[in-house]
Amino acid sequence: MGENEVTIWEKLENVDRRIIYLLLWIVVLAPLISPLNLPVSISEETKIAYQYIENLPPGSVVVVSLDHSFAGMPELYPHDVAFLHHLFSKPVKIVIIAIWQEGSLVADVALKELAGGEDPRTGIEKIYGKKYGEDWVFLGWVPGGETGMRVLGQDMHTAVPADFWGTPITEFPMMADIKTGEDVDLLVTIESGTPGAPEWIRQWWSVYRTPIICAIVAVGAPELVPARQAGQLVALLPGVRAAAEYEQLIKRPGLGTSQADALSTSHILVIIFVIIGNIGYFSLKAKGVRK
Amino acid sequence: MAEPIEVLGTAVAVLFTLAVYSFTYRENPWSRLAEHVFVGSAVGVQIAIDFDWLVNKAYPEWVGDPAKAPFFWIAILFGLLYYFYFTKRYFWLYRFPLAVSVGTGLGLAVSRVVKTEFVDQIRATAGLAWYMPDDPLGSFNNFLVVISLATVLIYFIYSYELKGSSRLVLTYARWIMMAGFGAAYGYTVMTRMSLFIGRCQFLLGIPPNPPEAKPLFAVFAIIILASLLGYDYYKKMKTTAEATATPTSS
Repeated sequence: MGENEVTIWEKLENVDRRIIYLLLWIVVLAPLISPLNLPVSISEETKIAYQYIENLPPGSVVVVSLDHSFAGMPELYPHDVAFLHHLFSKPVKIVIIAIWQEGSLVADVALKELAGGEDPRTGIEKIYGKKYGEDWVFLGWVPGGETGMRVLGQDMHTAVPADFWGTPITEFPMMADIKTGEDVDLLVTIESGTPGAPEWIRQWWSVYRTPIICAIVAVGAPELVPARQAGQLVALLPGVRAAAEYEQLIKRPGLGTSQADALSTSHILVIIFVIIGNIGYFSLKAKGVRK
Repeated sequence: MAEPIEVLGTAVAVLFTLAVYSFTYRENPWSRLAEHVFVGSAVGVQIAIDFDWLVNKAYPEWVGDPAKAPFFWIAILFGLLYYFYFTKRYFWLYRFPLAVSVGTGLGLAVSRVVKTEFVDQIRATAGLAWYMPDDPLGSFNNFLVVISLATVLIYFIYSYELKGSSRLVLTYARWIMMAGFGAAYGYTVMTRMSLFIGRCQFLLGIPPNPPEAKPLFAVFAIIILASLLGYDYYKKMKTTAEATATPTSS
């Protein structure tokens, strides 16, 4: 073996990144085209969120805030649909809002899907029996970020004078009794950054002690674990994996469940890359190529 | 059957998704086009939503009530002062709305940050039970949380140097932080993969995504790949031809 002969590890260290991307395309597309149906175990945290909503007394008021943009849809849209479906199936009053501008448009897409492609105001009633204005309202975007949250908690009618479609909030019978954060029994925030759960905790949990369930992009979850541990959140659902679990619990498999296989195969690929990288690193170190 | 305008929208989305991912081959005009259009349209959408809210929700509510109307116009005036950012002479006017905005935001946040992100979390950690007869794993977990918190805090005390075997505390703290960074990185990988998988679901037309995306995916993938590979092949051939034509000086 010649001194200058390149070892397999050195070759792997300098592998063309396009090969890695190509492998990634393959391991993601293959299970989406031909699902492997790998089992999805349900975590305790997802069960807590599901059970909390199941146990809500009839007539409870739930605010669902879609605090993400279109860019967050791959990871959070399954949560949007799953939570809204679950809540529409329960005898509770639902107020849908968005603290992010694009969140209101995402909510419109989700509501149309749940309404079978129809105008949500009529379609939701046909499918779930929930009458618009009496059982649920969609208030659209609430401007102001954290300040908007604060104003919403103090006086919803001032913060949002009209719903997403421009109907004055005073025309909705259910909103006659829902005016401040004190009237809300649960807040579900589906978020991908600032403003999001920490701001809700500051402006709603610390003031009104409103229970909060938070679904978040996985990358943001570690930051919120201390809040969960301190009891500021009822449950913390990170990423699409938790969405897949929630879809299993509500027995409505959707985009989250169909992502599960591809998520597993892509993670296996990353783990293999990490193992190969480490073996290469230590092999070259042992040979004295690396220090 | 989808409306033609919906198919057009799907086609644009497929084209731009693939244009962005063509960056994985190399930076190219497709990816640059997608980046620029995305930045412009994202800002445009936000401005449109802002304007719609102002005209259709805030204006009728506030201007319709004589008692509220002055506040609306004061807010509008303050908002307009932001535009003095673009002038050198009147730049100072821009500082007024900024001061109000920053002051309000800070006031709202800071008054509660200390409680929610400091006091409450210290209280929760201090209240962890170290011994729970029915839950040995939970007890161990709580024990780990408290010990790790204390050692990591010690790690960042720079005014006193630990020596000898007491440096084990620092080693443990470093390992714990590494574990934390590892977990954060794992979650980051999950997010990035989810974003990619989400776009792949769209490209494959997996419901509720529009089914028209699937054939368009194949068409646009071939066009983009052919243009990139074809250009690279052309460049390679041109370089080879130039090298052959140029006489070597020796």
